[in-house]
Amino acid sequence: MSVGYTSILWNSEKKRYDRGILIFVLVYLISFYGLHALLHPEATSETLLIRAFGILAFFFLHVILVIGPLCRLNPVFLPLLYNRRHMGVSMFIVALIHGSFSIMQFHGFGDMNPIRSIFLSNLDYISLNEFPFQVLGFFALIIFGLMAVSSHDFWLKNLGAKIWKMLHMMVYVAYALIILHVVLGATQNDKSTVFFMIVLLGFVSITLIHLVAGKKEKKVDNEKPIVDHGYARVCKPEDFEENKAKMITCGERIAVFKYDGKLSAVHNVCKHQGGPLGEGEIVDGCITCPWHGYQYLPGNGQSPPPFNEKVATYELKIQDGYVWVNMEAKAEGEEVEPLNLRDYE
Amino acid sequence: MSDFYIGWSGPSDTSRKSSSKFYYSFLGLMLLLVVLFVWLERPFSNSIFAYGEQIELEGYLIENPVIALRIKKGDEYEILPLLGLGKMGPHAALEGHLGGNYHLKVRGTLISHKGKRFLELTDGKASILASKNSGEMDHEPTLIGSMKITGEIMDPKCFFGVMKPGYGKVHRSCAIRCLSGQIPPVLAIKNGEDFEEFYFLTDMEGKMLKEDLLSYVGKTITISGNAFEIDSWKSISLESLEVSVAMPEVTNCG
Repeated sequence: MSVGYTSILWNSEKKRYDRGILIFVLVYLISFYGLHALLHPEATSETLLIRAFGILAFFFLHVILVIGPLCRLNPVFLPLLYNRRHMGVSMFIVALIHGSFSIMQFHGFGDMNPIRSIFLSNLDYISLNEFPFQVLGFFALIIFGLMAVSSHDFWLKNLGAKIWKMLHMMVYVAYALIILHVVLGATQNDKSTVFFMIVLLGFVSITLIHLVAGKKEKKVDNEKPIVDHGYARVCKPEDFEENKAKMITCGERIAVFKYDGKLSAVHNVCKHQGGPLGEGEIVDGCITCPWHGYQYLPGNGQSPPPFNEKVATYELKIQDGYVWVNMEAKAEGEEVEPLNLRDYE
Repeated sequence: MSDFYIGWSGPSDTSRKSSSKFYYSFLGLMLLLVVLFVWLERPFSNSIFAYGEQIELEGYLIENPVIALRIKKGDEYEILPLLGLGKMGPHAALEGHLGGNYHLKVRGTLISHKGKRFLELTDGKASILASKNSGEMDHEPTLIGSMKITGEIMDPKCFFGVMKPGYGKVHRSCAIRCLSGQIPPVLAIKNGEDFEEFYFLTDMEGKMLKEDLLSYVGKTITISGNAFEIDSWKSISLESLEVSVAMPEVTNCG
């Protein structure tokens, strides 16, 4: 979380994450080139470069797509999510190297502008088998580029969370384009079906894990609370764990936290990237988002000074031995007196 | 103490262990994929593009079936097709020499594969080191006969040296650019798994074809026409062409 904007707010964990990405890339490239030197010494450096970076970008894209749902299924994966945007930018750089060299190699140095050539060389747009697959990769690269340049919090703040999120959800469009790019292109280069099967396995894995995570989310949303006079029943006071939340869905998701013998309720969605605050914890007296550690005071939903993010708050009451939450949200950052459980003991 | 992970506060022992576990799992999976990929990858050809090593050659400039040097080697001649830089034919480099009868000394980068050689005039006009007028060369092609051949139209510069692979769908756009840039089209015929027989494609007058073929590049097609032999190369004058799904084959009808 930041007050102003600096290029990157480094901390030890981000450095560790980025070091991990760099080492991963280096180990991969050494293995890729080393094995080719042993088994395919006739290979040309341009072809190896295009293949090496294409495969790496494809792999990174799968890892990036799998991190989100994995974290929804088990918080143990959260360290992978923390600096995912750096992995996204790394993936774009790797994809850009693949794309640039491919455009140069296949479309450059000829009688037509290379970018025009991508669209106008192979004109079999109505044939599935002969479709100009490079066009698909080109559009995916544009999407990755837009995501990479807008990944900084500056753009999140200025575009607004909704537009920013929509833009970044385009990763699924790009993924579909990339799957087609690979299936209609590279996998047709080899007679073995193994590569096609690997691509298919990756696609099925990504789809399945999203469905499983989505089912879990839907289960939360489908649990209709008992409602009475504008209040929704949450649970019994003794059901709360200290410094953790119970979530309830009544139109919006609401997170009710227990801390220091008190209860407070806030809107479940973090202002940063829409993280689930209810899956976070109270740390140092603040609700802490599990995704990137953005914090909010439970009593008023405001980030502690000097930060200025705010989420909506909700009134709570105890009735008939249950905690109830007023479904009508207060203004973002509005102070609401915490419910003191000691008063009901 | 809670194991709740907050990135900016540094990892706990638990999160450090779990993230390391995932990291090494992903790395292991990636390396496994690399081994599998390299193991199953289609072998690369041993074609040669002698990048950075230019040689000098002398011969008679001919223009049909392709622009080439006809080089005397003892009692025989070798047809050495000339190419321009990048995806271009040699026309710009040979400006002022086409349409005449010339004996040229040229410098360029050699491309070779399967006993066929090409020369890229890498330095453009500066590749022409010497030229002198010569009498008309006798290089009339010998008629082999009428043929129906199934193969793939490709650009020879990539197939015979510059690209690996220089054929098939992945390479198709590149081959289209090359042919559009006036690199002469070649019909390559498979014998088993590999391309083994090659024909320059010409019109009925024996002149190089290009634009008419662009939409057929990289596809398996069947061509009918008269086949000719000229020194170390063969050519076929295109009478009819159809996209084919049949296995490549050669049928001598003549």
